[in-house]
Amino acid sequence: MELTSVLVGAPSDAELSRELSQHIEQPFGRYYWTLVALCFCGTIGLFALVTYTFVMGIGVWGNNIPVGWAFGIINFVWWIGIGHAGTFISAILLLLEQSWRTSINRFAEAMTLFAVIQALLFPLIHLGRPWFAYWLVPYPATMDVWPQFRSALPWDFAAVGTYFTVSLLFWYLGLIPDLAVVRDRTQSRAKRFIYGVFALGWRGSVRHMRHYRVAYGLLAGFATPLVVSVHSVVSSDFAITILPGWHSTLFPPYFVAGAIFSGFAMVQTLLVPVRRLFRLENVITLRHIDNIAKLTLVTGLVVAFSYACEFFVAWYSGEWPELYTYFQGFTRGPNHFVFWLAIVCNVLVPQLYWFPAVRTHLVATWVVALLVNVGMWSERFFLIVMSLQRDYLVSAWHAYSPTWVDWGIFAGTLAFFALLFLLFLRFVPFVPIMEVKELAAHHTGGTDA
Amino acid sequence: MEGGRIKLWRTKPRTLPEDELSRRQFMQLVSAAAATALVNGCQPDPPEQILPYVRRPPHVTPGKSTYYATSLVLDGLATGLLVATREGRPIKVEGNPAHPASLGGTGVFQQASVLQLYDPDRGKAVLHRGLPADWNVLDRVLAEPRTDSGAGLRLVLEPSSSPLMLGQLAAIKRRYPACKLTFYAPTPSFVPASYGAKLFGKAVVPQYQLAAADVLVTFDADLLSHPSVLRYTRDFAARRHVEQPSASMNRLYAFESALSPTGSMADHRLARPAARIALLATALAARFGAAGALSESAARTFEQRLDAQEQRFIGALARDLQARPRGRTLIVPGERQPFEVHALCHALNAQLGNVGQTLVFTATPRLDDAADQDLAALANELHAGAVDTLLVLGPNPSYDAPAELDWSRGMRKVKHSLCAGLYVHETAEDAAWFAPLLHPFETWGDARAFDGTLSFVQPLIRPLYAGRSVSEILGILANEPASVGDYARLRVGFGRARGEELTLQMSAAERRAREAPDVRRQFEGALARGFSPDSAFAAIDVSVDREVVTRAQRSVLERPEEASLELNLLRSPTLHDGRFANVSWLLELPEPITKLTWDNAALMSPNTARKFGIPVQPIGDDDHYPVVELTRAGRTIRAPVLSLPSHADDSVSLWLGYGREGAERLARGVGVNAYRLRSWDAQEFAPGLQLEPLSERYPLAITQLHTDMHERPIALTKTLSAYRAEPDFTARFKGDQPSFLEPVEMPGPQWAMTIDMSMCSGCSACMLACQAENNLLVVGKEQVRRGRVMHWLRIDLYAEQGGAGKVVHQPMLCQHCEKAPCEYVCPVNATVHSPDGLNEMVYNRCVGTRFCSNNCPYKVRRFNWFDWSQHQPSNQGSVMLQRNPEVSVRERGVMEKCTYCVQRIRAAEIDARTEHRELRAGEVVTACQQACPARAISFDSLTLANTQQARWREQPRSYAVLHETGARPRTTYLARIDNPNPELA
Amino acid sequence: MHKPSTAEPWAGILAAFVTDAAIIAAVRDLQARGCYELDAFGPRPLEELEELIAPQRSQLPRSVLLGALFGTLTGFGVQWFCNAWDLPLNVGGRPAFSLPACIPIAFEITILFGALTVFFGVLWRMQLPHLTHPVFDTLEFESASIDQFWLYVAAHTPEFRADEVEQMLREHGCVSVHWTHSGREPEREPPAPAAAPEAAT
Repeated sequence: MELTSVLVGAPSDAELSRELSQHIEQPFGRYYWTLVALCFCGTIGLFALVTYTFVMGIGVWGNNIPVGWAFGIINFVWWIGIGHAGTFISAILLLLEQSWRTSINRFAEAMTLFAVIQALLFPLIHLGRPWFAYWLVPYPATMDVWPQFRSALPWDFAAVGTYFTVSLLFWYLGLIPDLAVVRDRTQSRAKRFIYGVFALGWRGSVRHMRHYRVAYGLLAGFATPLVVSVHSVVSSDFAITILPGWHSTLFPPYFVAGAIFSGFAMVQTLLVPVRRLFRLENVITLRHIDNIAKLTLVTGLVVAFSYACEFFVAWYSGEWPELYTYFQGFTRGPNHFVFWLAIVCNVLVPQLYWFPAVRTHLVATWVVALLVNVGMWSERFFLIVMSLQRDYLVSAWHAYSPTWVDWGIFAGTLAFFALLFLLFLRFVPFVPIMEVKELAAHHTGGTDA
Repeated sequence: MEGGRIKLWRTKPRTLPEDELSRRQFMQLVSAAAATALVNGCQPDPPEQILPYVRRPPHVTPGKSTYYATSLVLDGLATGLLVATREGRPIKVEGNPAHPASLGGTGVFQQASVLQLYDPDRGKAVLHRGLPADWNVLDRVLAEPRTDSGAGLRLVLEPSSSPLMLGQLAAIKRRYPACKLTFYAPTPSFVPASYGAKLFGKAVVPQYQLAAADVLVTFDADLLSHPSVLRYTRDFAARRHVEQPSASMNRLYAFESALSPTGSMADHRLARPAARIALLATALAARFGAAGALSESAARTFEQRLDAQEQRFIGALARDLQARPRGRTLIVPGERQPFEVHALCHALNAQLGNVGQTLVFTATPRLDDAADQDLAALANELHAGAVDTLLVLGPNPSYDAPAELDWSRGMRKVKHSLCAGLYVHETAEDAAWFAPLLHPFETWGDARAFDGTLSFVQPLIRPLYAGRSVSEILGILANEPASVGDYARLRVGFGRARGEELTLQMSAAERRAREAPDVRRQFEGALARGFSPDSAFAAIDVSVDREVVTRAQRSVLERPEEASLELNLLRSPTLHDGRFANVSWLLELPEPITKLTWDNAALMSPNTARKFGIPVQPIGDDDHYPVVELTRAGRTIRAPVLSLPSHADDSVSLWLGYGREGAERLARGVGVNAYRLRSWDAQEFAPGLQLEPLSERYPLAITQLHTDMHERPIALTKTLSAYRAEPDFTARFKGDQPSFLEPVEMPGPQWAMTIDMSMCSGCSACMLACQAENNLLVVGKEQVRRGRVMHWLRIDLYAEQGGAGKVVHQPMLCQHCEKAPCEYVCPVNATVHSPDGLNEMVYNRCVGTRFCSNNCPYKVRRFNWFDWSQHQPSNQGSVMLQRNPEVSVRERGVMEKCTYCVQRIRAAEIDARTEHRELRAGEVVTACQQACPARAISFDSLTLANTQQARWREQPRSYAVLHETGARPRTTYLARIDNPNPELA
Repeated sequence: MHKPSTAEPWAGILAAFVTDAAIIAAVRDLQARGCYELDAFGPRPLEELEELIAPQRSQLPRSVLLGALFGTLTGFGVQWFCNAWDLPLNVGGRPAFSLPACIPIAFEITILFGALTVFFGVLWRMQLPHLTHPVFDTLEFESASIDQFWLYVAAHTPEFRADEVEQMLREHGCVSVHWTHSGREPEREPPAPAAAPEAAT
């Protein structure tokens, strides 16, 4: 098998244009629409449950005192984390001139966007009085009070909001030329008009190209520190507290690594089936699969190292609450199986990626990626919930158990995410056509079609 | 409401005659007397109507509470109260500082009584065979003269000490000589005078002066959670507070089976089955030969019957007692224990010279000897069909009479039966007639305190429902004039006792003409005060009849050893005998030791549990507990098991008062009815319990799941000797710490609280006081299980692991940290610090992120997961009348927590400002501090010099919980000091 | 072939090439003859072509720098105003304004403003959106986004000689030559409906 190439064969511009945009022109099969229908129902369910929560009160969730945060924040952190791979691939790898990113970056960016949308849901709905969420925004209120910026929640607000905006701009900017391709290829008037509008009248002028490539580079430049900062800020929701298990200066790098780890796993989880379904073996080659697997392994090792550090520091501190939380609460406390699940999925399972056979065996690599996703969710769970279950005052210790509403809302976001993704696959060129053409041109040294 | 007059009553009001002094007018007089101001000039309103505040009574200031002195009577003993009323609504109960039984403290029942007043499930109207009826009809039935001189008439009353009632009973006796009277209470909280009669030849009862005792020994006596004598807690606690390491403190030895608040304060505690305690008392007595010398053989066999631990314990105890000067010790037998124990204990007291020093004997305040027969005898009569008219006024025998009496069936046989009660309870369902009784806060009355002090019951509100007082019903039987009300009875009784020529037959005008002004002044003064001073009984000197004691000793020794499992039935610390079973506050109040709410359980030691193959499960995160089937005398109940290391082996304890089946909606189906296992001859504890483990499990709502401190410096304890050796053992847990943050300028008073864990016996009165003061809502069993209980103040209990389960109580509330971790994580400035050092919670600003609670190391913040007032039916309806208008009821989705009773602070500040002066020391009293019968809580501003708190905080044993977090809590604690016997330590 | 007035904007010749080399050669040649006003369109960036036609560097980064700095100031400013100036409260005994606590938000706002300046800045510099550009009148131009490179030669320059230019373009192997604004009726629907009114002129 050929691992070195990020592009199989020497397709011409015309071929690439056709291959990478045909999915928008050809009608999709029934299986696709059934899938869309299912995800749509799931999404409806999600918003039904959110409404139910708003009407009844947050008590329909499993949260309690001491466990003030649970599924809401777990899902928030998990989804945000997943988002990170997209930006990482499209921005950081761009700056590092990793040519192989080209054919998957759009895809990864879309994943980022949709993941962040899911994440943005939770800070709102987990509030006791969500209708006052806007009080976190500094606006001249009649009450003459302002937000309190020492708290990490306004930081979150700024970070995640910025992250979503920048990801969206980045994604759209890259999309403009490809929308033009669709505009110019399609025979349908309606599509020509709609894509024409979104293409903003792109005509591929070399005078534009100059600004365009600079702008794209600049956005990449901004996105790079952003992707690092966002999860650092999210991690400070926990790090700024004095709660054993949260109070840790290691959290920012630890969370960023975990985020990119889970993100790559999610890319892999989605990429493998899509590549198969849309017959993109020649633009999304085993090389991509392999690289993603390698990055998953690397970040996975960083995460494992972070775990080790956390436990070491807890032991080294000699602080009785720290010691208990890590060595009793996590390992033996209520819900401890989640902790062990996280250890297995995040530390042991990724080690399989040492074997090239596993990395490039589509099913195997997919399963590993899936387990990593599970593992990362479990990690959020034990960090957030299990730390709260066991804090300073023994008398206040109380276990946590989720309700059906908790599970329902989590499942709902998965459906919502899938729905957005399916629609994206249907209506947007999910492999950047122009960049692939450029890549092809570099391979073949100009075109002689 | 144009015209300014509104109808108050839905039901037909009981009309008082025009010339009768109306309640409302009387209240005016009382407060006027209290304020030493105008007495005359108030127009009497027609009693059906009240004046709107456009013409408000002179003594009522809207927005300010008015306090009235009254009493709450439990088991016939009065506790003096001051009840705050707001615009005519009683909203909060405080102790009457001048009253000997209260000294300003209250217990949980006193605190909860105000909620019971507003209980929507109270009996509201007369029922005949379950259908609404009219008082007039019932009156006619009752008033109908009997031809049989009362031979078929039987009365069942709650134990009483009311001179008023005594007079009425006498009158009834005169009218119906053959009628028979029974006093019945299912759980005794007072020693019958008959014990005294047997032991001393005089009908006397003991009265303890705990403050004078250096060594206390309790034999199954739970002095510190006495329902109506809160003074005991105060006197005891006074001797536990050690000002300096050099100071002395008392020493408490406790013999009991289930851990009680008293046992939890004991320096040495021996957990034994209740039946064995008599033997231990004998053993102690024998050491002193208090019951006459034992024969050699007897002594030898006797020693063999004690195990090593018991011998060591008794030996050390005896030597300790011996070493003390005469009259500085005290041996207290529990009411639950049989006469023999009392005989031996008092023989010992006599021998140790304690009589007259640490305990005195007085006449009994109760009317027990007015009774003609006990409940068992009456039950036999019922079954024999000898009774045609049965009046049960107050008690609830269909529920709590020993099942073998089969009361219900007997009662249904009776032709005319009347049940009068606060609720339409089980007995009401067996009676032909039901008559709603008035709540103590709705009626006039009198009663005596444990020491005989004559205390008065005053109405604080017009009756909410068409109820009557017991004395009003008795009045009909006594053929008193229909026009006479309780106030007139009280006045006449009081007057006659002081030589006034008053009779009930006179018209009010006549009476007023004949009353002596000074007596009237006395009367009004007494009502305003809540009791008539120096009415306490004088001590009667007694001499023990050695013969009786020897016989008692012999009977104990001859009692056969019971190898079988013991059933031990206890008064519920939260529901009493079941009469409070419908009060939501009490249902959700964690039991002081197990922290169990909304249920009772079979308590036993892990050893006993293991013996029967019950999985021994420490209280923990899994709240499903094994269920057992308990069978005794052919009757069976199922109960979940809590295994407590502190419990005696071979004994199973159950709280009474649960498993109600009356019409009370909350009480129904809560817990199991342990009365079903009770038999008449052995009411408190009995052998021969069969236990059958079942496979099923049952969820219990326990508010504190972990009692192991895990070597964390949370609730510090030290023995007195160790404290003396190392006075500054808390030095690491207080004082300044290095910090990057520069100190914040804080003008004005600086509020702070200090709690002495040496004094706190965990009685939980403070929790209910807080609940009443701050409108804390009830969340229900399921939500408690989810960890969403709303108590701002909780009492944490930490148990020494492994050992006999020695425990320490730690009241835990918002610590108002100066560097509060909760504040800096709030994104919307909803919790900030006030200049006077309060950690403020701005409900209106809170969006409910719960970040503050996550970052609170004490986890004292409470969240409104639902709109509790809607979510929980028990928060709705008339109970809302109890709400404190000074405190907002929190919306769904906001965080709440202890405010140091900020409303009281502000009120005091306003008063100070209007009087152009500075705040005085001790002017602000928080609800918990005010209720605490032990006075274990001290609150004041740190800026005021030489307050009690200042002195407390200077004590070497003061410290801050979780000092190392650097939060600088304003609430500090005084480490608990124990005073163990070095010989046993 | 009808020749429209060269005064109209974007009047000129459009020629389509299929290979990178051909169009580059053509451009070099034209520039050698002094025809400087050129523009080229293609399905992918072609740096050589950019060097020839638009050699000056983009000025975008400067404005972005300004935007980002403005973000930083806003970030710090708002936090200082809210918590230290307008409503200073004692919150957990923390100082009213401490730089470290303000860095995260200031940082994020910096990035946000920077990114927004990039996006809108580049649109402004590219003069997009512009849905009705004259080049779209030429029906075949749609291949510019797919596989062909198009060269535009402005007609209004004095050096412009239409037939010579056309001749030369053909020599360089362009596949088709069109006049923009050739008033001829389209054979079918104009490419983008938005372009229709232009086409009518």
